Amino acid sequence: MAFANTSTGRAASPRRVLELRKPISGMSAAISRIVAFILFASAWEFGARAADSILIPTFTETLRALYETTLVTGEIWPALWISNVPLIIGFVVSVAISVPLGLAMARWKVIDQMLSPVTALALALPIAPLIPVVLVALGMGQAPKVVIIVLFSWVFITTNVRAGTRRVDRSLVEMARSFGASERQVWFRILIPGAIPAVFAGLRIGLGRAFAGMVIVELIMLPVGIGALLLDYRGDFKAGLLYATTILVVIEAVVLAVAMQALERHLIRWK
Amino acid sequence: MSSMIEVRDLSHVYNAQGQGGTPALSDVNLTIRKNEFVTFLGPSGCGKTTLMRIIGGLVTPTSGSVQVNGKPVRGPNLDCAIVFQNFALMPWASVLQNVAFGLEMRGEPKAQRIEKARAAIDLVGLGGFEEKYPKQLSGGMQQRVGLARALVVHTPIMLMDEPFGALDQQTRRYMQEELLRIWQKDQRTVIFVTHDMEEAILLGDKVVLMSNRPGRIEEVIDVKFARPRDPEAVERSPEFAELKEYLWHRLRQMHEMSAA
Repeated sequence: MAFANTSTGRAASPRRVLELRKPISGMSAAISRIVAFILFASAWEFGARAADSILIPTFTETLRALYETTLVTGEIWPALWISNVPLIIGFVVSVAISVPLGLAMARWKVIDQMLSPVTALALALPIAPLIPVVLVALGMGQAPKVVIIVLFSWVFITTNVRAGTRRVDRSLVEMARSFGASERQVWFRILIPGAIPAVFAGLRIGLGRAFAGMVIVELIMLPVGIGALLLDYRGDFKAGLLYATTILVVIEAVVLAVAMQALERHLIRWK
Repeated sequence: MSSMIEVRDLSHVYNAQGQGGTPALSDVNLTIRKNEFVTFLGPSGCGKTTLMRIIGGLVTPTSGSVQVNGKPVRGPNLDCAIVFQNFALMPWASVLQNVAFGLEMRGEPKAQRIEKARAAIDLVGLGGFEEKYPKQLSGGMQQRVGLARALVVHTPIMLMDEPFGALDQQTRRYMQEELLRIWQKDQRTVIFVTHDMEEAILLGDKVVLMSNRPGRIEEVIDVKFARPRDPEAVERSPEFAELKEYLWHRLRQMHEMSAA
């Protein structure tokens, strides 16, 4: 009994990575990133000046446009809102369909056999060519955008959830059964908690794909929101604003990914 | 004395429906009394784990019957609590939640199961680790969690499937001593599957020696060391060496038979 208390609370970490480089501190990492950014910005600035093209803004022009569109005219905000409504609806619908589908595929062989050709096909299929088909079928409202966003993301969520649930230790299911768990308890106490990391991996990839779907559909077929803004700026040769808007889209994508990761880390503290 | 487990004419074939199923057990008969500590010893593939799982109701045998506490076994047997070889702890649950799992499945109210789980955690020497996750514990400590989870449901029978097989030598030895100490305090019927001869002798009142393909019981050997057992005294005794030599002789015989 005594040795339990004297032994260390934490087992030796198995992740001793072969050291190829010296580890760097947080401080010097931050400095090197700032240096890299300055190098990138100045290369852009001088490159654009040398090119002297109406379609390539300099770094400072882009910064000015960024300031203008977010704080002076505020043009970007309604456009972002218009684009994000179908993204949110589409992603929620996609999750609501794909997660149960993935869980069912992992648990029941019949469903797996039924759907695995569909997921294999969906993984291989480029979605962009389907956009006109969906638009023809559903018209020009919110519905086709939601459907396209679902088409872009569902298969990545489903396949990740399926793979993750299947990786849940079989012996845990047996353990639960031996202690008298019902099928329902096996689901809620073993399979679903065990699948959470994989669900999140799927959600993260799915969200990125949904975001791509949103931008693509607006750019090539339904010019509203961000897509419309980008097309207008291009048509009016407003290169600074074009770049600034693109940067904002990228920033949104990064913010979504980071938020997702934070939520994930919060929910999977045991890993 | 009252019998706790009665195994009659038990045979089991894996994949019995398909062609060329794998015979795992053949004509097994065994009686285990209440509060007896029985070890199943045999070479790998001799069906000792299968026999344990049939008693636990996790595997339905092809033919024959098992009665536990006078009732035939059908489906997961709630008179048994199992300690698993690979620990089978839920990585997302704390030590306390893992230990309380069986109580929760049995529908105990929360306050009560936390109280019982804490007591069991203290019993296995893990007091202070209640809120840790399995990943934060060493292998020996993880199996203490598995042991506490099986003890806390207070079933008449505990099934242990090579519980210390995945641990290093010293930890295994500590755990054997711990198990003897706990069993002495809190007696119940134990089936302990192992392929370690010394472990089988040290712990068991009976060693059930099994041979392989298909698994059958070769011999049931009584181990007469007095309880409570002092492991060091037992191991120093000439009887221990004698028994070990005998078991080794029998196991080697079986190996030669199956190799021939």
